[in-house]
Amino acid sequence: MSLLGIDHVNAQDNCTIQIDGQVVDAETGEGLSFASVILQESSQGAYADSVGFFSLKGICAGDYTLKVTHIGCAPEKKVLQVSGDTTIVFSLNHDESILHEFVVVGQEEKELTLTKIGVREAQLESTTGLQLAEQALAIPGMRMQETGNTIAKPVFRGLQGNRLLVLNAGVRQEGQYWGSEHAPEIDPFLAQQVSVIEGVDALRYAPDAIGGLLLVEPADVFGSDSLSGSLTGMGATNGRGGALGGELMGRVSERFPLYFRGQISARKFGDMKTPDVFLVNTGAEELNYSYALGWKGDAWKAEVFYSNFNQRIGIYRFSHLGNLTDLYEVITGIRSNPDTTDFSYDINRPYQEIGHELFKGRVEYELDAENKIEAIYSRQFNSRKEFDVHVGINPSAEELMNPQLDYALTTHLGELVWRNKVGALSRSVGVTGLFRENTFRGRNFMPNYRNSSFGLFAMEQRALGIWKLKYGIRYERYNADIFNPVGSEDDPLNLSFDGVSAALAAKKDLESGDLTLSAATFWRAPAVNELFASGLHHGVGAIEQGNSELLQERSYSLSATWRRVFGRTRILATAYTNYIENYIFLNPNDIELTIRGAFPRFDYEQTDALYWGSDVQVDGQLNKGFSYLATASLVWAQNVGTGDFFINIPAHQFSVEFKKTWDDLSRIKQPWVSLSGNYTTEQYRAPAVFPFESVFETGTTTPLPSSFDFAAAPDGYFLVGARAGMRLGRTSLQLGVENLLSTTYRNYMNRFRYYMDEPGINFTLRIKHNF
Amino acid sequence: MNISKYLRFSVFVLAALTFVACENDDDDDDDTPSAVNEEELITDLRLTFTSTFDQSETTFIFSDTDGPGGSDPLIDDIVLSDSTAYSVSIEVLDASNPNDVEDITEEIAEEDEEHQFFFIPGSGAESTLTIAYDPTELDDDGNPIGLSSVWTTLDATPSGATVRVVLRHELDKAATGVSDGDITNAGGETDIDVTFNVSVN
Repeated sequence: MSLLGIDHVNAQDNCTIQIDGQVVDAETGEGLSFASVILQESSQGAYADSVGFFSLKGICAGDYTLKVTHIGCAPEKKVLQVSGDTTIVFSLNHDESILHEFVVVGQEEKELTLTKIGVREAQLESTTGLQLAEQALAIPGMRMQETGNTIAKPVFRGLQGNRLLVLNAGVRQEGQYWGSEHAPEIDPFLAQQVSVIEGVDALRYAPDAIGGLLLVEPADVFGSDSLSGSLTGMGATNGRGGALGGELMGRVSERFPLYFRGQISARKFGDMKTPDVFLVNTGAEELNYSYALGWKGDAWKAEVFYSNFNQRIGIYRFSHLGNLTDLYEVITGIRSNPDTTDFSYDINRPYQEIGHELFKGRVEYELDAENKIEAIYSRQFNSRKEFDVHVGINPSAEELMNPQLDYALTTHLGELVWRNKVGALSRSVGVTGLFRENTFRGRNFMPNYRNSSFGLFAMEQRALGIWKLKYGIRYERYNADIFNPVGSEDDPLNLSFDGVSAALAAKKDLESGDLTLSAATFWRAPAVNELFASGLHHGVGAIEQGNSELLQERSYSLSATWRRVFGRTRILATAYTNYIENYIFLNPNDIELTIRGAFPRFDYEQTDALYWGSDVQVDGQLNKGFSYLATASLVWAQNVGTGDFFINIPAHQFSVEFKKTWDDLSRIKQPWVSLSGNYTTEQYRAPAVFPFESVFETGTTTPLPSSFDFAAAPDGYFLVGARAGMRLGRTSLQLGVENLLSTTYRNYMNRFRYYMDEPGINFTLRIKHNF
Repeated sequence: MNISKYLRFSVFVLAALTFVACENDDDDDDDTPSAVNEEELITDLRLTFTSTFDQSETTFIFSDTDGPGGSDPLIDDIVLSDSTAYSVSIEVLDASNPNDVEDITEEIAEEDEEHQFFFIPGSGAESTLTIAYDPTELDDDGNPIGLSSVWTTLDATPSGATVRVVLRHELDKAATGVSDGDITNAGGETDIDVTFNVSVN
C-alpha cells in the first residue's frame, strides 16, 4: 500500500477534524467497495461506499495509525499526523495469499476483455506440481476429464477436447485433442495466470471456440527491469514424488532494453495408491524448459519465445483389456485386478511419450498514440507416441521398441492484427493463417492429412449509455487434404468448409457490482478423426468408425455473469446455455464381430445438443481473519434429437472452504489454516448400461439401447481436505492434505472408473522462494 | 538510433534466429505425409481336423482379413461326424496382405508359457462333444497350450450348437482349473475369441 497524498486544508483545534478519502485498487485504479477504515488509537472507523469513498468525522488532532482492510487485500496500516481536515487516497494491492482461491473477473483494457475469468499466480501456488487441468479447477465452471490419474484434460461447462481450445503464450496449442486420453502438452510451471475466455473475446483467436478458450499466460518477458526469479518445490506422499521449478528474468543491462526470461521444471511420480492398493504403472515423469527474449524500442517491442515439453506417463496396467468379455469380468468383479502392495517408479507398457515444442516470434509497433500493429508467427511440433501392452505375438527387439500409435503434428500459425483506440472506442482487425500437417504411423486408425485455414476478424468496443459493448465477427475458410489410406499421395481427398462466427457482449456497472451478458455463435469443421477414424480403441474395448458425410458443427450460446458485493460478502454467479447444431459425437450403434471377439461399434454421428448450467461462487469474511469460499458447479446436457444423455458430462459439484488467517507473528507473515469439503453428486443423467449378459447369450443379434455406457455411473462422494500456509521473508510455505478421510470412491469423469478407485490420502508440501 | 544500437539489435535478431533451429526439424520436411506401417495383426484362425477313423482332413476357417471394422468376417460352420475322435491343429495367420501371409502359429509356440487356447462348447454342444488338450503338447512348466487338441463327438448336436475358441496371453496358467481348460480363473488378455457353429451328424 502506498499513501498517495495528504493535503492539509486548514488547522483546527478540538475534535472536529474530518478525514475524507478513497480506497482504490493499486492495479486498476478502481475504487474498492466497502473497505473498512479504522483509526486504531481512537477506534473510530467507517466503511467505504460502493466506489471506495469514506469519511471519518469528529477526529481529534494527533498521531494516528490508520488501518485499512478489504477482502482480498492484506490489511495495511499507515501512521498519520492529523492536524486539520485531510483528504487521502489509499491504493491497496490485492494480496491473494490471504484470500481464498477466489477468481478474478477482470476487465483488462489492453486485451479489451470483458469475460475473462482466471486464476492468478499467487493462487496457482496452491496447486504447484499438478497438471494444468488440475490447476485450472479454481476457475468456476472448470472441471476435468481424467484417464487414470496421470492424464487430465480441462472441461469447461461440460465441453472438452476439440471444443475447448487452449492458448499457450498467445498461441493456439496444437495437439491430438480429439482423444480424451490426450491432455494439453503445457508445462504448468510456465503459467503465471490461467483463465478462461468465452464469447466475443475468443473470436480474435479462433472460429471454433464452441466451449471457450483456456488461456495459459507465462510471465511477461518485459515484466522486470531488475534481475528476479523464483525457485519452487513440491513434494507429495501419494505417488512418492514431486516437482521442482526455477525461473529467472530481468533486463540484460540498463544501457539497452534487452529483456530475458528462462524457466525449467521437472516432475517425477511413482505409482499412486488408492486407500487399499498401489495402482500398477501409474507413474509419470516430465522435463520442460522455456526461454524468451524481448527488445523494447521507442515505439516497438519484439519478443521470441521457445518452450519444450517432454513427458512420459504410465497408463494403469489393468486398463488394457482384450475384448468385451475381459471388460465385463473386470467391471462385475468376476476377475479382480492383481494390484499389489509394492510401490514402484517403473513406467512400463502401456505408456505415452509426448513431446511438444513451440517457437513464437512477435513484433508490436505503435504507429501513433491511437494505432498499433502486431505480427505473430509461431511453429509447433507435437509428437505423441503410444506404447500398448499388446505388441504382437513374440515381438522382435525392434517391435518392442516401437510405439503402436505414433502421431507427428506440425503447425505453423501467422497473425497480423491492427488495433485502434480512441477514448472509449477501440477496434481491432486481423488476418490469421494456419498450416497443419499430421503424420501417423502404427496400427490402422487414422489417415495422414494436411490442413490449411485462413481467417479474417474485426472487433469493436464502445460505450452505449450505461452499457459497455463489445462485438465482433470472424470469417474462416478451412481446407483438408486427406492422404493414405483415404486418398493417395498424388490424389488426396480434398475437403473444405467455411463459415462465419460472431459474438456480442454487453457489460453494465451496477451498484457495487456488474452484469455481463454474452451471445455468440461459433462453428467447427469436423476433425479428420471424426471423418475417417477407423479401428479398435484399446482400453475401452470399442471400435470407432468415422463418417465422411459429417457437416460442420455450429453453436449458439448465451450467458449472463453477475457480480455483486454485499457488505462483507462477494457473489459471482453465471448462468449459461449452449445449443449445438450438428453436434458430432460417438454413438454406439452395433456389435461387431472380430477375431478377438465381439466389440461394440461407435459411429461418429450428428445430432442437436443442448448444454446448460450455472456456476456460483460466494466468498466473504465472517469476522476478523475468518473467511469462507463456497462454490456450486451445475451442468446439464442432452441429445435434443433422441432425448438421450451424453456420456462423460460432469456431475454437479458443491464445495466450501473455511480459512482462518492470523496477524503476523514476528517473522512469520500471515499464517493461515483452512478446512474444505467437496461433494460431487452421482451423475443421474447417464446413459443405460451395456447389456453384457444378453450380448454374450445371443451374440450380435441383441438389440442395443440407443445410447449406453459399460458401467453404471458411480455413487456421489464427499471429500475433505485441509491446508496451512505462511510466509517467511521471501519464502512461502504451504502444507496440504487431500482426501483426508481416505475415502474410497470412483469418479464418473475418469475413463478408468471401470477398473480402479481414485487415490487415497495424500500429504503435500509446497515451497516457493522469490528472489 | 546510432550504429552501435543497430549492431546490438542485429545480434539480438541472430540470437532469435538460432531459436528457430528446433530439434525436431527432421520430421518437418516437405514430403507428403508418409504411408501407414501396419503392425502385425491376427486375421485368420484355421482349425484342421484329422479324423482318427479314416485320417481324412478338413479345415474350418474364421477369416477377417481387413481387421476390426470394415467388412464382416467369414466364419465356416464346423461339420463333424458322429462318434469320431479328431485331432485338431490350429494355425493363426496374418493374411491382411494377401501377397505376404504371415504365420503367427510359430510365434505362439515359441512363447508357449504365455499363451493358452480354450475350447468352450455351448448351446447343446456341451453334452455331445468333448474337447481335451493334446496330452503330449506341454510348455516348459508342464502346462497345456492348445495348438493341438482332441475333439470327440458323442452324438448328433442340436441345431444352434456352438464352440467358442479363445486364445489368452499373459494369463495365469497355475490358477484353479486353467490347465484343465476352464477359462474362469485364467485372467490375462484376449487375443482371439471366436465362436463357430458346430453340427455333428
